[in-house]
Amino acid sequence: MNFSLTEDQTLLVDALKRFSDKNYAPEMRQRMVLDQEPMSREVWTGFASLGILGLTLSEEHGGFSGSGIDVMVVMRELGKYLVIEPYIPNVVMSAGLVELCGSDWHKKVLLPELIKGESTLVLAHTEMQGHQDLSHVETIARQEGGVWVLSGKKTLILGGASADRFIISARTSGSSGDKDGITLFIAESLDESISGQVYPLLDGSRVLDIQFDNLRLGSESVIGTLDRAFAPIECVYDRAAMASCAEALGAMETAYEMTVDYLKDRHQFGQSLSQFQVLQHRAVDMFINIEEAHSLLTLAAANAWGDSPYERARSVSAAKSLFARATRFVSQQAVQLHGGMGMTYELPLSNYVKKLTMFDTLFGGERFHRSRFSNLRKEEAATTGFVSPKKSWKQL
Amino acid sequence: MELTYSKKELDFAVEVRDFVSESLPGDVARKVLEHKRIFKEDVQRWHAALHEKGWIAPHWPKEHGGCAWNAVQRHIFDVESAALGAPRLSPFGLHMIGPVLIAFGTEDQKKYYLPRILSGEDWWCQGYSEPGSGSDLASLKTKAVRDGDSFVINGQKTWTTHAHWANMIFCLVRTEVSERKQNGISMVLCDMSTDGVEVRPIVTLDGEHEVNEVWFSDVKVPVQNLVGEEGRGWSIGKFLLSHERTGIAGVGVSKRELAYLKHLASEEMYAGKPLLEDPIFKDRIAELEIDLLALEMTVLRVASRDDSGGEPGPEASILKIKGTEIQQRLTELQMEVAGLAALPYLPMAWGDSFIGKTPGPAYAAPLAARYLNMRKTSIYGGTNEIQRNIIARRVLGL
Repeated sequence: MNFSLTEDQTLLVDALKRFSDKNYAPEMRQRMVLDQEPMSREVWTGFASLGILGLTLSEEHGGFSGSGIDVMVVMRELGKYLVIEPYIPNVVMSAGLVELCGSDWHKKVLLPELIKGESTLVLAHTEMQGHQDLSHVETIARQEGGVWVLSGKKTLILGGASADRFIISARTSGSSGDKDGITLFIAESLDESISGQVYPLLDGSRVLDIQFDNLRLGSESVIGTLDRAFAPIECVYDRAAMASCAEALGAMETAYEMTVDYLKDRHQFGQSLSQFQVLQHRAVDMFINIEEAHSLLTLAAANAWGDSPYERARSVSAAKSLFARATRFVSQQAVQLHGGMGMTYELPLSNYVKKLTMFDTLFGGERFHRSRFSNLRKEEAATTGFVSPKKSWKQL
Repeated sequence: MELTYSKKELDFAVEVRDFVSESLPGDVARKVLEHKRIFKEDVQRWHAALHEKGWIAPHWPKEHGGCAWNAVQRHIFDVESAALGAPRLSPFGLHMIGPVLIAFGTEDQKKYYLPRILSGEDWWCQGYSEPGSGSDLASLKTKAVRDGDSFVINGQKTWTTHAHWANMIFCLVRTEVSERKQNGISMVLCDMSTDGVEVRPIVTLDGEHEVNEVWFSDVKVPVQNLVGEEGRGWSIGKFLLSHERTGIAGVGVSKRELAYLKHLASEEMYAGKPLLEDPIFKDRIAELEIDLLALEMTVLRVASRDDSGGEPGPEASILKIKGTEIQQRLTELQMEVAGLAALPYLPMAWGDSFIGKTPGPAYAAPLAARYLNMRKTSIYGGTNEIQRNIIARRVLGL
């Protein structure tokens, strides 16, 4: 057992740092947000040349053949810079789904473009009333003379505002809340049957809601096995949850460093704030939260692309639950310890606070994950059709 | 980064499990698992078995009789032996004065004392805290005055764990009054049977006796018993305190106590269902289990960083803080499971030979006392507040 990064991982971190220092300065990010840009194609192409868009995809498709640890390492850096480009939706979720469920043709057509940054593909799964229940799918797909016809609404599509294509989940049998009966379809985002609204989230990233009535798709648009999309969806959501934790780690570390610097610089009552024990202990508690979260994250990262769906689910849910508490504490105390300044929009810290505030709501919150952690049974996991990511997905 | 145990490490776990199952006396294991009262002889029997195996000092260098296990091995041993009910060994010889003598002792001291620590022939206690010097240990006042071939010691130590079982004590004493209070402190070794040494018991919240006051009235100690340089004992004392911190996360014991908690909750009924299935109680357990998992990963991360030798870093303070919080929370939840049965105060029922009946199930009898006893963990070994001061100073640079 060992915890050190490989030389490749260290080089990747350095390359990312240099790239982000140059291309992702806070002012640039701020301008993107104010200009309502969901994504910078330049930055995205830069990511492609760093090799990170195909991070976990196999080398045969032009990917990096990376591990969950590689994803953790990359996401931590992206979190430090508050990168708003939709890395998780494209690279972790959609590319992952194509690799898990796609036919050889799907992989040949879709993956190389994704890896080179030439086109984007995101998952449109969540529906507003569904909250965090992954089996809540009311969007319907019915067969009509060899063609699929989809009707429904999808909300808060991460990366949707800049997506060239969607993977849309729709119900092909059963009723909402059934794990069986969900199927995935690929659609062009510019299809005239799809109407959408783009809006910003708390952190300035831009997302998309879509509605479609009688969206007509050919049979080749079905990705994966009919009715059996739940397991691969759950798998990529787990991986996204882990990636989100890693991103939050980078954001927490930066917010914490800003806070410690502030305590040292700020003087009141004739001395530096860093002399006051209550404030010292509060900063220490932030540090402890971050360290413990980091430790547990490594376990989730090691399992998120691993062979055991049970270990993946258990370690990811543990990490997501712990990070829920950590992100809340660190972001709240960062504001608190900055005093009045912590309440300003202008302070760079504010973007970190808003990012960390979003953490618990995406990819399953504390309640969901802690409940799942409690209720996971090893035997059950072996029979529910969870996928082993190293093999292609197969029907139960 | 490789976070699965290697085959070698898994084989080692099996080796440990087999050894402990064979060599840990069953009556001792049962007492530990059921929270019954443990005596000196119980610990000595386990100590002897480990000594015979050559496993008594995993963290000592081989040249001094240790088996020089790395962090992962020490962790595996901790978890596997705790799971089977191994009692906690006395730390004062193996984890404190032993490493101190290895680092600072004379050749004569090492040659004489180290084998006796390994064999268990000497049982040590720690003369550090005084009534006026707890967290502010450097303010200590017990005096040692040079008189020919001896130091003459006068003063009082307190909170001395197992002084009533020990035959040796290592003390921080003041050999010189100086402007800076850390200067002029020396470490001396003292035989507990020396004239003038008096041990008085302190009874703790739970009604039990494990700590003491130790009074020194003109106690003569040979000058050869000075450890390191006279007047420079404070840095030796600090060295020892940082070593005290890494062992203190207690992951192995906490994992065992968590398993015990789940077992108890699966049998105790509440509203027609096992308490383990009550959503609120189940969630409390899950939160704790997740914290323990995070602590275990931190132990491995921090300890493997320190494996390259040298002193444990200040991050070890995290292990002390989180480890003790988890230990305490486990005693709270166990008490909760017992419900009303936790309240009867029947110390006789915590003895292994008790054959009477308790108002509630037998497992419940020691739980409240154990909860009270474990309130010490956030206080001893450097209070959790002091630990935060250390992290603030040495990690955050505040």
